[in-house]
Amino acid sequence: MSAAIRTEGLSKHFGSIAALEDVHLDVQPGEIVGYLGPNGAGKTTTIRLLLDFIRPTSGRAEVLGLDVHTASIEIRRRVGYLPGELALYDRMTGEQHCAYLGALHGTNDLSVARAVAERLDLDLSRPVGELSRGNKQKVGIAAAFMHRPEVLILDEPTGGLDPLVQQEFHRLLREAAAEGAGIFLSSHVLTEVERVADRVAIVRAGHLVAFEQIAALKARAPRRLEIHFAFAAPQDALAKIPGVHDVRIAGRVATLVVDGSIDPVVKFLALHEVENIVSHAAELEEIFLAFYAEGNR
Amino acid sequence: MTHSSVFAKSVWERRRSFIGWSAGLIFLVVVSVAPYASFRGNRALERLVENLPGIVRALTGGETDLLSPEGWLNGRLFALMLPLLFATFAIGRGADGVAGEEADGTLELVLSAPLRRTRFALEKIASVGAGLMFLALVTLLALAITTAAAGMDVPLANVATAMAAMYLLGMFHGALALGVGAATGYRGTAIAVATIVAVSGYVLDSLAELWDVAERLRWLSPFTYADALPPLRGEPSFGDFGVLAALTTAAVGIGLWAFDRRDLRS
Repeated sequence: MSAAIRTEGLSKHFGSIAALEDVHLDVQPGEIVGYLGPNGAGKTTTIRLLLDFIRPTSGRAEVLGLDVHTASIEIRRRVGYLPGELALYDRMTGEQHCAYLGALHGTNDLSVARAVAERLDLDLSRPVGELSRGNKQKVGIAAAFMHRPEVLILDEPTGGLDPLVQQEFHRLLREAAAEGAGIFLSSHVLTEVERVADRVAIVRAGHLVAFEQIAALKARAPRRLEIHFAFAAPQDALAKIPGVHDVRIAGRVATLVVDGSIDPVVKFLALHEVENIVSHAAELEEIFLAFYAEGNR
Repeated sequence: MTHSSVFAKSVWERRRSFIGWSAGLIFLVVVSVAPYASFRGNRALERLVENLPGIVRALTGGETDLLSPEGWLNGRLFALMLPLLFATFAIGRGADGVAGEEADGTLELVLSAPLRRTRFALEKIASVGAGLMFLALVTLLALAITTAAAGMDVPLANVATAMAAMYLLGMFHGALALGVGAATGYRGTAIAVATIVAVSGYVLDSLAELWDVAERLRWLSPFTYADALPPLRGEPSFGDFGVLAALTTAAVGIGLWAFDRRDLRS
């Protein structure tokens, strides 16, 4: 079975600016891959290359085993796309948008679009010019799902959605993945990707800096411990523990950061009288910021 | 179905503007043709016209017989006003066609559907053509009624042929705006280029009788191939129509060629 999405050495330069450099990615059928990075990192550039809106400087990309440029029409027949900066026709209703895009897909079946709208609590009968940003986004989501695509490419899909609607949207994503759709989802909302994605790719300044299972990423992530000793905290001893750095002492309280396993720290603490340990679970956000900090060093 | 295709949607969403344009054109035709009845056979006026400075005559159709039905229609409508209005309409619609949707951001949504860029642009130029055709037919209908009412002895077939010249001239400028917009992605550039071509084409053509430099360069002006006087007199040059059709095809063809090869703007 072909990968839903595969890129090989994908690069895109705009003049002298390298927007994307040598990116190798894949999304398998039934998998949700989160694509993380700050604004301007190259997320949208990657997505626009997949849709053949822009052409690569070098490297190649395939969707469903087909070349994104030469087989673009066939690909777009089977892909659902939500643009990052969704623009709609203000005077048209949500239903008219779906009818129009449906017609371009060669169908007048709006049942999926209506079902999605219903679940997201969207009124399809109103002109989109009267809708809030979040409701416009729902029109875009309904349109992206309406032809039961085999691949979903979603650029910042939850912008403007309130938390309850986001949850319903995440259920939609999981259902689509369960039915075999490969989903590529860009975001700078880390908790969102953490919640729905199987794997996460992190892009920084056009370079892919990480691409792995979220669990694996978390396992080797730094974690912050706050240790309350029964006596003055032993700074030098703590700093000598393998993997420990950024030790700070405030009287009897030590805070420190541990890379990888915390086992050496636990073994050390077992020899001392400790009143409390507070562990800050590794948030993807910290991992993410760590990746960015590396870039700034 | 109003949203069944790019073409249908593009025509449908402009329905209100068609009404406005139609009303304006009908009004123009009425106020241009109606006075003819009172000026016809007015010797004093005829002498005045004969003594008009060359430049005035040149800019109002370049004809001496301003008071013949053909000369009147040409001077009042076909030499300046209709080409200007048709080109304005077509340039606006042509620039909106691709570059407008690109600037608005809606192009990506539409092109995420299985639709070739060239197909999208061709449906857009077809919608410009349909809109222009509608305006040409409305104008023709208004002319048929008003020329009959004013007692103007000019065959409707001749007026229709002259209108075809206006249509083709409008289409060329619309195609140029669409082509430049498709090639560059910039609506402002599309409007600017097409407007400059239209204005300089008009000036070049109308100065040709006064200035030998303009006369030698006249072939460069699309207006030269849309001279309404011969068709109004029943002597249309279909070769000229062919030139306009070829220019239109070239403008669309080059624009689409570039459109298909470039990166869309984000």
